[in-house]
Amino acid sequence: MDRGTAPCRAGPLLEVSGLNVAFATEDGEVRAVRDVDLTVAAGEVVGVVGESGSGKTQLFLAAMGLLAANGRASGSVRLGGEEILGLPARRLNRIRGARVAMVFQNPMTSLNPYLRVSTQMTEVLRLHRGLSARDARRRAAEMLDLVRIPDAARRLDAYPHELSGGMRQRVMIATALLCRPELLIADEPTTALDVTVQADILDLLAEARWEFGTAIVLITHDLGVVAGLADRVVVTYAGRIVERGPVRDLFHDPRHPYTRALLGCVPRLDADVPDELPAIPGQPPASGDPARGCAFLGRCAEAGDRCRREEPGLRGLDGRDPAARASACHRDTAAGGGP
Amino acid sequence: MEVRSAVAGRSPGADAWRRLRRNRAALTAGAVLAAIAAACLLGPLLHPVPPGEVFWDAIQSPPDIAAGHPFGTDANGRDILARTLHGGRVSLAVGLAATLVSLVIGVAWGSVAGYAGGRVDAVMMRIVDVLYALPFMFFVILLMVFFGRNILLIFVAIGAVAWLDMARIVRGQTLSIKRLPYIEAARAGGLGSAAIIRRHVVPNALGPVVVYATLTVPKVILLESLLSFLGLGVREPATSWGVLIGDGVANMERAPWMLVFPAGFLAATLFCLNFLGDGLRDALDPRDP
Repeated sequence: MDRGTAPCRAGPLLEVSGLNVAFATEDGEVRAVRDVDLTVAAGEVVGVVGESGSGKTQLFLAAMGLLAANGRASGSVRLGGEEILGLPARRLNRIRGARVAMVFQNPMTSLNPYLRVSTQMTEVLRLHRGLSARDARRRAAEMLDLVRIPDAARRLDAYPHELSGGMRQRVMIATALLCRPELLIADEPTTALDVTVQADILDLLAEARWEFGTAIVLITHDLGVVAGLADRVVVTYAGRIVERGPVRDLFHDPRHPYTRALLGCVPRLDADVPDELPAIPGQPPASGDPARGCAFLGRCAEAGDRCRREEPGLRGLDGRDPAARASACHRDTAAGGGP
Repeated sequence: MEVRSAVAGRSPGADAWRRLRRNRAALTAGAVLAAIAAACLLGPLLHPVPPGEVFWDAIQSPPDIAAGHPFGTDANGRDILARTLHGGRVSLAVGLAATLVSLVIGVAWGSVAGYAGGRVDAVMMRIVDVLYALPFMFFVILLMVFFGRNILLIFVAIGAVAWLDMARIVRGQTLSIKRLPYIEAARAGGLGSAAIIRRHVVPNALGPVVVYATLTVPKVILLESLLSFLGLGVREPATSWGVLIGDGVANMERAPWMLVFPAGFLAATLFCLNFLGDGLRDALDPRDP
């Protein structure tokens, strides 16, 4: 799996440990992310999969210090060995955009309608790399070319409303890559786009990874997106990681009932389409605060007594390191036939 | 050339400008406004009568083009046309300057308060509330007592009041803008708060601000008129539309022309500014094709 474009480095590029994110709301504290450990190696693509509200986006917003004002993060986030959680905004600003870039879900509103594409793209370059307006513009044009925007030099002078959604997402990706970041966090980069455009954008991300050795975190609810691009997959549910592993293992041998249910919801091309598309029954627990027991309890067909009593922790599967292949389910040892 | 402009580079601002030019009422209002402004600025060249000169042979005489007083003269024998044009300079200057001051302070104050949020926002907006509660007339009279009557003080006094509304409007805009994805994208790109406010928040808040500014100009002109009418405004021999209207009202029965002409100019200007503001609001509303 390791195709190794990564430069030699002692530790992982991004190392999240014991991260908690909570929001103070009028209804009390809402815990969006609970005790998450996660690593991303240099040059690696990690897919983070979960349904809406599973905390997958907040996890990375918290890591980058971009939480809403009522959000609080605790734990540890290290980038290249250096703690970045709780850094003052001034120092974070030197990391954001330069070492870690983000691409967001909605390309229609991610560009400022009053600024030309060139202005928004070169903004980052001039800020982080101190390039002159001329050089920055040239680099921006090259990058637009690279993300296969036709007639790039002239598109630079366009305003966002003159570009299509797919084109805008290309611009966002080009902007994110301009400073050659070590890590690109792509938050549902294809969700708002047509399927055909989706494939192009994913190709683009794959290319960026080979071209620049950029590590990519791909946040999505679409398992199909992850399958083609990611090396490793992390499945989140109700603010916790419930399963993780290399993409092949996870798809061929999903261990957590939630992962299995998610995979069961993907319509397959090689099978007849059922009259009704499968769905996971029930709802995730409100605001990630189950009183006791497993968060997936109410929706799990295999739940037993123990699931009601205590919340399962992440355990390594088949004797492997929990950081590599793990699932958080009491039933796994029994159902999976392991030790 | 035609094709290129269709492909790339038509800004939302240019679109709004195009829509404004299609709005006949706004366009006419703009033209009339420009004519009034030009008359006030250049008029004294075409009608070279000093506004303070007393014509002893024509005290309070009705309008008479042949005699060289197309708008008549006032109770002191001074030419009304010359005085209206000179008064217009003061009124328009007060209107523009005070609006500009309110624009600068209001936009800066409101956008910072809105973007910072939390305690900073609360403190800044309470300051606005307190200033708002200050009785305006009391404030002006106080200024006059301390510093004497001075046209600069009128700018200060009116500007100090006019920016409060602007700050509130900009803050409201900022609150909604700062939640938009492109602000988040800018933050994720490592831009500092000051740069985000300057480059991303303010340009997007400018639509309503421009509209409100065009509506502030008439408000300020009226305020100056009120001050002058009360005897707190510009001092003789300088004049403004407010002063002239005040004089006109006092002599309304014997010499209606003293009221009609300056009041006509003021009313036309206010009308035009309101039409222009309306037109701008329509033009800047992107939902309108």
